[in-house]
Amino acid sequence: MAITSFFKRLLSVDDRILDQEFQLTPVTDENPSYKETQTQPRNNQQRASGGSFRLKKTIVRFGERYRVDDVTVNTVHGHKEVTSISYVELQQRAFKRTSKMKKGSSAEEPPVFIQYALADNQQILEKVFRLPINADIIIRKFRLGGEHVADAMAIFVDGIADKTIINNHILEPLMMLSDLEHDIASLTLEDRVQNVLLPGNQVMKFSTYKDAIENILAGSTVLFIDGVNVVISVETKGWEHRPVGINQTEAAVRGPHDAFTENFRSNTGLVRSKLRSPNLITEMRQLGTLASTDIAIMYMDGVVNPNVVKEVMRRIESIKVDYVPESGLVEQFIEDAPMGVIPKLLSTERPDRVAYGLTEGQVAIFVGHSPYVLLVPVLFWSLLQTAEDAYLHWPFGTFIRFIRVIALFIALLLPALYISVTNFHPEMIPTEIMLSIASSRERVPFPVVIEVLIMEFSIELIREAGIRIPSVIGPTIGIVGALILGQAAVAAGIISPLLIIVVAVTALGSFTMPNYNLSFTVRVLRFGFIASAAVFGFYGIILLFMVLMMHAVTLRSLGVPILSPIAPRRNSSPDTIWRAPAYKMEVRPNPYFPIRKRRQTPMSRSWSPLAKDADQMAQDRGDNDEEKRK
Amino acid sequence: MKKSANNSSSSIRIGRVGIAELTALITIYCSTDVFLSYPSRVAVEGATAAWMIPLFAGVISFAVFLLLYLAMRKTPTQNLMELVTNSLSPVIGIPVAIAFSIFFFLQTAIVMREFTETVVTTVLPRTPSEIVAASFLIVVVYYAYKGLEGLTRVAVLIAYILGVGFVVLLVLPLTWFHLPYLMPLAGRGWSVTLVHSFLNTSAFANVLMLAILYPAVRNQQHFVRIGLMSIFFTALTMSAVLFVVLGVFTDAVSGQVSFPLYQLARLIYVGRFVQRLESVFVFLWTAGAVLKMGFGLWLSGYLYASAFRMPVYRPIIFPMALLLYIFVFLPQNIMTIEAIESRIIEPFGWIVELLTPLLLVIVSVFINRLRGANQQAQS
Repeated sequence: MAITSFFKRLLSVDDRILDQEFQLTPVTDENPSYKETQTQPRNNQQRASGGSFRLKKTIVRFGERYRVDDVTVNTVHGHKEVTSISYVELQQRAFKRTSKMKKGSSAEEPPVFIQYALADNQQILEKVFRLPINADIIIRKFRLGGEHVADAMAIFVDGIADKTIINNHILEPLMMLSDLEHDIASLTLEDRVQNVLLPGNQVMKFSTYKDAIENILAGSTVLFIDGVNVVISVETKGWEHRPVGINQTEAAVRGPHDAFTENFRSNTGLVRSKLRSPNLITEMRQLGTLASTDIAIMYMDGVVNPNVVKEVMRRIESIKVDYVPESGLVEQFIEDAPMGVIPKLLSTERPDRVAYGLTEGQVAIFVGHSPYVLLVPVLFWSLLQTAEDAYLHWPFGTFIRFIRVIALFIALLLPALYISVTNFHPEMIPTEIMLSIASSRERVPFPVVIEVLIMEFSIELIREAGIRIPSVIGPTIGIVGALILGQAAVAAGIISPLLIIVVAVTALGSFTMPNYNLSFTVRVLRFGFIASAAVFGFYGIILLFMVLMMHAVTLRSLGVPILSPIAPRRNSSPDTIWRAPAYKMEVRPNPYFPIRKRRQTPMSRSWSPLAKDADQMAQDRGDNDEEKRK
Repeated sequence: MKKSANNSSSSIRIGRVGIAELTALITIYCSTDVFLSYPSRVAVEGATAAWMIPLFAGVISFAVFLLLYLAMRKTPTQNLMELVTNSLSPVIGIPVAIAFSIFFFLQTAIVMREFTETVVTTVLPRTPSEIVAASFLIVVVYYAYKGLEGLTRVAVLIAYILGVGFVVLLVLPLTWFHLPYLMPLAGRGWSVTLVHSFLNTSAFANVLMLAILYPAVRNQQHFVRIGLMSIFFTALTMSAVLFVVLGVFTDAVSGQVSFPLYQLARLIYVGRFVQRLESVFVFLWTAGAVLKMGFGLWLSGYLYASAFRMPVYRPIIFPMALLLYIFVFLPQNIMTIEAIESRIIEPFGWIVELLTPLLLVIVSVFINRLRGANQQAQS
């Protein structure tokens, strides 16, 4: 079936498919109900409902609910009084009701709702977690004191839950302090436990097994109480993880040095601590059918284009996969044109870069405990930039960016140009250099292409070995590599000395790429250019370059052409290769179509005499003098 | 009933393009002729006044463009063929679209042969023409397949590089430049110069292209600016190249050199290290050629598809590319191509590029008005 459809697609060209591609367009008022329909709270943040008994007399209103123009209208026709019943009677009814409920056909399928009987719940959990085979899951049974004595159990995963919190702040108050008298006449049992006995900062009630199991696996301690069909989850996450460290791949001299770590909440916290705004929204989703991974989508409400958020949500929610261990996998699932080699998302380990991106109208995606956060949409130019560019004085930032662009071309084209010049166009270099190249190649038995390929392959080997090798002997590899590539290869007459310089400069150029994915792009494409140069010389290089250009200009990152604002041209603050002074970066990047376009006043340096005329300055001085006199 | 651009009779979505992008694409399309034998041809026609010919031709083309715009501006959602089809009849509209499609197709074939021969004679002398043409064709098909948006975006990127490259190529040979070579100023006389300027409007396909791409412009208020800028930059490029070529080689020699701009690049000698920059020239001309041929093939495919009201143009590109490859090698040699250029395209090209669209638009608008007047009288 799949093969048939594959051939069918090969033989049919349908432009409508291309038209359906997501494109970011200016914000309109067409979809004002977006937030209501799209924003859903995280499962474990939903308020548990229907779990508490109301033993007092109460009034029930009856009526109907209907929708007019997407607005829900409740109409109350009347009300009736509900007489209270005794707790025992209520409990008996509940036991009868739940005993008829489906208890799940297999261990993998627990019932939907929490049972009233503690024994039933324990039995279900033992099936779900394969107890006692599974040694990580701990069930601690105990008895609650007080007016209503009840059996209870706490369940948590050993290793990811903090035992100190469990002992001191859950078991101790529940077992030893529950006999203390409190003003609890109006509280149900579970409310008493939640509101009076448990001092934890995040205590929530859930009524379904799905929520309960998710919380247990996320490091919380979940309390089951006999006779109560809700569970109480206490946040006790406390697994071992690396503390916030320094940047490994995006180091900067000027600017913060902290980096994301393998802790989900620390990562979101690092960004939130930098962006202290109530408009900063973090929406949560879970991915994975076999084992769920938390996904946080962070954006600045009121700045970001809602269509971007909507599209990110749509793409993430459409991922159907059993397990997502790292943000690199999410990247592959949600990027446009996945067959290309140019990165369409920015993965960064710098919280300051994420914070700045959010203020510009980008969306950040945190994936589980991955220390790399994804920023979308992204422009190609930002792959060539570092956070440091913005922190430096603007001429230096611009200078570094120019260096990087030159490095990009060197890393991409230098070996190919060397092949072209030596094989096809020796006339374009001065005679002395040409003679020098010819004499250096005199002893080399290989054609230039083979020579270049040997060297490039060796460099790739060294680079790969450098990453895999234990850090203790890491420096040795550098020395060995340098020896092999340098003196030995030249002395053996396999490689010409000039090529060593070419390959070394090329390697330096590719190391200059500030983005890890982009450096891979350059490494792969370099071989393509070498091949095209070997076949057609300059002509081949240019043809491939033109193909690459066309590929790049038609690429989109979440609906944004990645080469904008240059191709297509859009008016935006100068922040591509040229970095303007901070006070001239008045508007947010236009290609993101942010809702709030301007980020500073037109005269952000209003104190400067250059920003005002003489009359205005005199007036300001006059005002200041008056204020002082007052 | 008027139809919108994207729901027009052809209903082919070609996207929307900006001012700078379209200006860059059309300018590059028209001015890449200077890499080939165009300067040599014009040098023969205009002698020492040859550098004025593109400027005069540009003025005439702009005048025609203005007339066309004034006629078309009331139907901003229709391009030339849609206007003709809706106002006159599909019986006229379809053949017109096919004729334009064939025109651009043949022009692309000629240009591809010229560029192929240029590559073979200058940088890859031992490579067979078939291989060079095939390599061009693969890239050109990819360009045409990607469509107008992609073409315009590449054009705006390449425009910067081409601009700098042109300045380098024209400034560095000035060490050989002699102003007296450009005298007498009027060349073979003003009347001859003006006649050739009129015929030289064939090099300005800007007008016809803009008439076809009118609805695709994102901001149609700036349509005149696109026309003006593209014609101005085309004329300026051609004129500047001719000015330097004539000043370096004299008109008599320029007329004998097949690719004067290439020869100019070979002459460059500014010290021992900056000399013989024909490799830079290869970059510029290949980039320009790919864009020109890609746009030509796309335009041809688009016109053909819209003539027969096909919903898509992309499937047309592949058979057309095969046909193109065959047509490229129909002329026996480069001299035949030169002859076609100088004896057919240049003397008569303006009929297709300027006269036909102008006449068609004026007649369509006239008939539209007549119909409007009749309807008013009836009501």
